[in-house]
Amino acid sequence: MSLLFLMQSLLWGLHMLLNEDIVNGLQEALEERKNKGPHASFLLVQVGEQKFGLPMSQVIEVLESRRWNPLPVNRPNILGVVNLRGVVFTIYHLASLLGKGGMHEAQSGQGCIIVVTDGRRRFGLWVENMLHVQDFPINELHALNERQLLVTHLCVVEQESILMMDIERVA
Amino acid sequence: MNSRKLNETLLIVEDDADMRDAILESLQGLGCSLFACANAEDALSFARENPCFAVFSDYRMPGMNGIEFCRRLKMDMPRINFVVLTGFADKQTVLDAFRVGIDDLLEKPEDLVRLRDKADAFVRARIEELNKEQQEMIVLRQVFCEEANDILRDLDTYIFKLEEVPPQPEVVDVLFRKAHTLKGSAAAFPGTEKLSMVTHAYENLLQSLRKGKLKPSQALTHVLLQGADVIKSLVSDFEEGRERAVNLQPFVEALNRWTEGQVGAHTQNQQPAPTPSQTPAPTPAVNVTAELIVPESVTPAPARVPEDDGIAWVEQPENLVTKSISEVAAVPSSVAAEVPSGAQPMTAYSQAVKASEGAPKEEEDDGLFVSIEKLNSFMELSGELVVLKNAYHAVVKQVLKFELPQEQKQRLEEMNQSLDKISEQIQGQIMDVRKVQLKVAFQKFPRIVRQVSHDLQKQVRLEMTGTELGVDKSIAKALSSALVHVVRNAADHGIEMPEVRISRNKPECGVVRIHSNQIADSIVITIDDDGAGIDPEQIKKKALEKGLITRDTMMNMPAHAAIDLIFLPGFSTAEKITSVSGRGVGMDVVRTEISKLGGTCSIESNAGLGTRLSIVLPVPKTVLVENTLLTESSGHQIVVPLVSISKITPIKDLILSKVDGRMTCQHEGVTIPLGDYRSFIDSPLKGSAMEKVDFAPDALVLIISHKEHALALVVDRVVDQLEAVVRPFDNVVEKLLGFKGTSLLDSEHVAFVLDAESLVGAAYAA
Repeated sequence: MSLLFLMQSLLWGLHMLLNEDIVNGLQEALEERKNKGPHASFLLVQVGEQKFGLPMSQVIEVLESRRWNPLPVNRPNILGVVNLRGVVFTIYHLASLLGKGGMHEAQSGQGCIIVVTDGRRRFGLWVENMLHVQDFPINELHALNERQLLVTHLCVVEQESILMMDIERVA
Repeated sequence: MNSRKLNETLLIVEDDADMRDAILESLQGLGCSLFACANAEDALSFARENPCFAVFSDYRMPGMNGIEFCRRLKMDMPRINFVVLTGFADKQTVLDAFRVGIDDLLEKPEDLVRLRDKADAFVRARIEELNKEQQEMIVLRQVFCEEANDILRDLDTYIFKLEEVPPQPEVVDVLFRKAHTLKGSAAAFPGTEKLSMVTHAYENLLQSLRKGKLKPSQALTHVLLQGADVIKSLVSDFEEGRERAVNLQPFVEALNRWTEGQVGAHTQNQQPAPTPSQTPAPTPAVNVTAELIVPESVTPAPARVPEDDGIAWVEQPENLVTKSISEVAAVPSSVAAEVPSGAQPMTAYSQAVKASEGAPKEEEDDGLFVSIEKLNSFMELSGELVVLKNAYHAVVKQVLKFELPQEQKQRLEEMNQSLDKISEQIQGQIMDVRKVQLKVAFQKFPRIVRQVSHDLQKQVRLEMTGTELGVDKSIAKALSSALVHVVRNAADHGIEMPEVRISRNKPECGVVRIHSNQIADSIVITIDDDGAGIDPEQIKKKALEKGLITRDTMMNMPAHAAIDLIFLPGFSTAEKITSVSGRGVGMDVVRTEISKLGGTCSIESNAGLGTRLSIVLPVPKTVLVENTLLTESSGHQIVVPLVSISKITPIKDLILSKVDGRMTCQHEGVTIPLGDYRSFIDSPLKGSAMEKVDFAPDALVLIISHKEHALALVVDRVVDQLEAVVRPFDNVVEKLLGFKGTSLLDSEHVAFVLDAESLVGAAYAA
């Protein structure tokens, strides 16, 4: 609510500076969002034929075409480590974590590394294909019963199912 | 409403009783005390005797008006908040009021609501001010305690120096300055009354010594040591916010009696002082000597009954013991009566000290107190500098491949070298900061030996060499506490009674020697005594009695294993428990402490000749930077610490053979497993199952050693030498067998740092 109030105040200020049409458009978008109820933002990625959503609140940044350093000793689902501004952290292979592919297909320097945090740890998720950020109404996210999976919720948009992940469940 | 109570008063001065009640009513529940007066005179008297933080005063009152009241009050308390309440605020009144420093002027009765707001603001501001003062006081207390501990740290050492011949005048000066500084600093803090009282008396005693009214003697040393103990305890109590209901007055009076020459005076001039020619020259190798010579005529002082109101606490280096004040005060005189002092008149003493040359000066410590956390953060930052330097090296290497004017190439190389030099110096300096000299850790031992000698009526001399060795603070701390037991045991169990020593053709005075040294990456401490040695048979017998070994074990146990039993918990050969030893705790503590630091301790003993305890400690890895070799193996960049590499050789120069299906090679006449790093980690068997032909002909072999084992590590190539900043794995990977972390090579590449211990361990795992 406080965010909405802030935005409304901002719009009121913008009235004084900008073209009235633009401001009205923004106002409408704001109203639309307000009417839709609470939303959650997810970063959508494509793994095989399936779309997955990563909670934006847990995404720190996205590194494109970044090379990683493979671990000298194999660890399940771990591609290696990457140096980001002096901090070395681990990169998981997301498809492998989700049981949707082997790590051999991942090539250093290709795809994207999505840097995420579960509050306690920071690590990267390598994906071949990152899509976009999308808002989903919370009341349209359906909880899944299978508690041990990385996927916790399902959302159906235009007859397409999108699976929402919980970063904290990445072992 | 303020949740916290302010223990100060808001003063209301109003001659009109109804208005006074109304004001009092409106200010209820502010979280402070309220006090109302009908006139300014009464209010002034109250404010001078009670802590007040604000005054709300009427302007027109009989006698003194509000502005005059403010003027007079502000002379005593310039920071007090003062608000004038008036129904007759003309321009001149307002001007006069603000000239004398009032904070506000409110009209009554309409402003009663504002009055409460004002009072509430004053309460909050005062609470905030008091909190700030409290925080400042905490910081000041910390600084004082750090300074006090610094002053007291080597107090004992200087007290002992008073007994040295020839005497050194600077020693008395140093002691006096220490007491004077401590007294002066303590006076600035509330709650240090006892400390101030004792340090004042102590300073007076030292002043008497300084002026030649007293002369150094063993008895005086004893008094000074006792005083130092009391002062240390008081500082420690102040530091921990502890207050004990102890009457120190008798102790201070005892010190004063010494100062005035009423105690110990009868011992003055009893014997002629030893002249310099009669005094044996000190042994150059001896750094510190503690010797208590007790003549045969000496009989132990009779036990004293503690007095209820005269308890003083005396903090010994390792524990807190309680002694009666009569004991503390009387021991010096008994010692003085029993022990012939070096009876030089003080004037002669003063002259002698003035004439002495080369006397040691006080080791001025102009350093700062820096927390370990801050040092660690400096260490990390210097590590970052090394990473940056490595990256810069890599860039320069690439740039130099291009066609550049010779002058620019030279400039780049010069900058490279300068960066190398500076980062190395920074590393070295920071590492040195963490070090403390062993003499700081060992400075309590002379006193312990002196005390034990006195208690047991033995003659024991302590010699310490190599104490200038700088070691990491963690090691100094552990050695300081562990060696207390060793030194006590040596003096108690090792050194014989004087008559026994004479009967064995040994000097009457026994010697305990502590020698410290650093050999390569190990700190070696030996503690020798020339006492009776350890009888393995007696050890076995005691161990059997205590149920620590069985009879069968005892029968087959070699002498060295029997001697090793003294490290078992609960083991003691002492016949009875004394204040010195016999409780069976001690040597096991020593081994435990040393083991915690990755060290070992061993003991050798020759019956009748003495015992040697040897402690070997690894120099701790306080450093994040390691000198390494950057190698490539199976596409990975592996960093190998140079300290683990004993040899590098081309694989073609080695004679390889297969033993039990695994590749091996010969190294210094021993067959060792050979393979790349994966072969040692992935396979539970030793070495690689690969054939000789599977290795590239130009591959190199690094002989990696750890303790008694070695292995031959095959790498594809050696890239360069690298100062690697080793970072542990993040909390996702956490551990990786055979590796201890990562090291950044440049902005993109990360190398993995090999852990020789873990890799060799894996290779030789059963």
